[in-house]
Amino acid sequence: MKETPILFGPNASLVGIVCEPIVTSDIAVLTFNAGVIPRLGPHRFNVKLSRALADEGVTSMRFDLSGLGDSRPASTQCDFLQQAVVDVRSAIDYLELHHGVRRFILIGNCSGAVHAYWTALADQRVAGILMFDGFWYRTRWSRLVRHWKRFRAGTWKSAATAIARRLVGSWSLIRHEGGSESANIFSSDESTANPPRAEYCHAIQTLVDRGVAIFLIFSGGVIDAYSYARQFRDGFADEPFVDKVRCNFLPEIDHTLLSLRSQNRLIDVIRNWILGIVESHGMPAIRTATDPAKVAPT
Amino acid sequence: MNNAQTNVTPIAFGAPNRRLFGIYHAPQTQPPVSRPAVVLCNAFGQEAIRAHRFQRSLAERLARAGHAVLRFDYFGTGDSMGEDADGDLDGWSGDLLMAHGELQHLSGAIRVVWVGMRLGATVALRATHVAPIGLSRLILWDPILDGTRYLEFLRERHVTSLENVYSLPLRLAPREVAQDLTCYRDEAIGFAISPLFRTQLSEVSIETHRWPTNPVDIHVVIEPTSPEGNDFAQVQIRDPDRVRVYVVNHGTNWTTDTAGNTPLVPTNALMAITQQVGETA
Repeated sequence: MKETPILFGPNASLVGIVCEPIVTSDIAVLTFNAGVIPRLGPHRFNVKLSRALADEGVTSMRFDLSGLGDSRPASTQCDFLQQAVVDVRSAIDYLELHHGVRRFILIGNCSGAVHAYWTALADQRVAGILMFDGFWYRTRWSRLVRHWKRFRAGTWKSAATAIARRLVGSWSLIRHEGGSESANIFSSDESTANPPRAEYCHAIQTLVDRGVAIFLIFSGGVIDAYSYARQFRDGFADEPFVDKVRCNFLPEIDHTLLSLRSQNRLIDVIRNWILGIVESHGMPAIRTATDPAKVAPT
Repeated sequence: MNNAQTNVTPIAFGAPNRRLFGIYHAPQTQPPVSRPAVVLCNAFGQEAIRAHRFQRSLAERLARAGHAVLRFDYFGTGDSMGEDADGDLDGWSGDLLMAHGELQHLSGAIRVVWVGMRLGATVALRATHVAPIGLSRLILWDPILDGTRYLEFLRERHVTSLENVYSLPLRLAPREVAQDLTCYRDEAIGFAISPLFRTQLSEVSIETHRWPTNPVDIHVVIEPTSPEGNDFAQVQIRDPDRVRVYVVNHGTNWTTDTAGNTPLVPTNALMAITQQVGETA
């Protein structure tokens, strides 16, 4: 494995690390910021994932979006979401030009999932996206299941407190939850809110038709948004894409990957999914990693 | 190659089996008198993630004032080689000395200032025993002087964080699990802790603390009401003439996962450290 720090993008304003195995496939994985966390990912998760993938012969690059981590602010007029797509595509361009990679998998964690989604729609070179605690849509069972799980997990005292609080603030809570489909729990910024359901369905179908592998993972830290394993299947049962999208509910993993057990579990899940994509694209590990001396930063 | 607008260059340096990642900030101005270069020594684990923005801001500010700056990741941290559990205080002290030499090589500077934050300050103190050539000042921000209490602090924060990150209470409540003192000893807030690292940290103590003789100039930025402030008050009296104190009430929560109600870049700490580096010019 070899890791090379690079500057790339317009004005060389973006900072990244390319992680290459000795022998690599023609597909590469991109990871980037979750919220304001630098490219390392929460608790260095992106570094650990990169190296686990390198052990399996998969090249990856972790980098900072404009204005985050070590990257400079952009000099464009784009808003944050638009700029993130520009930045991810710059990373794709870099790996295509300097490492000969043609297909890309985007791993998006929390707000990073939003960037993965929009970039996949904008760029035909994206072969897969993983959205960890990204967009979510409730079903009629979601709240019931959540309440049941909370009740089952709590003590009698905590249940009584919750009921009392519920009675006191019931109207405001109902109003709040009624509008929840268009509000993302991870952000009060409307620009990163869940897209309207119809728009989301159309986008996912477009990606599926294009052959993009889609993997949604929901953690045990977002049970208000995603409360049971079949929520995605129930919510989109009538959509043609429902069997083509993989969705896992992993309540044993926390949203910020705080425990080493959570980190290792998620790495295992992601690694297996990516190796499946590499196999399905018929891309055996054949390419020798680029000579570091020949990879001068642009 | 570097970024022309800020003269920022990501670099890899060190031995092939211990490659370290760093960001080099070349000085943006050429003052009439050459200014000392500055190595930033990062904190540990989640505290290092929290300190990233501060380090970037400090480095940019110092570079604008004409200082060459290197911030870097110790082995087993950040983008540097190695896994979490490979980290240890002696190894990191060696990494700091390596960064010191690398910065002198990159910048041509002879004099170097070390700025250490939290456990980074502890690493810096440890590394001074080698007496590197050109080290002209130590600036320590909230240094960890009692390793045993710091380990317990990390453990407590780990437990608190575990209680907060899940939507539902865990079947085995972390606070109850923590009653067994053998639990939650090999990880802290997302980062592994090796037995060697734990042992070394346990040996960091105010009883055995000695201020280094090199450099002569030691500045400490401290929040006096913090536990670290209390520790510092006990050791400062051993050498009050050489160790200068700057009281900064910055209110930083070093370990939180969220950004709520705690500064990422406390201005008063930023200004205090910038000023102390500037005095060395």
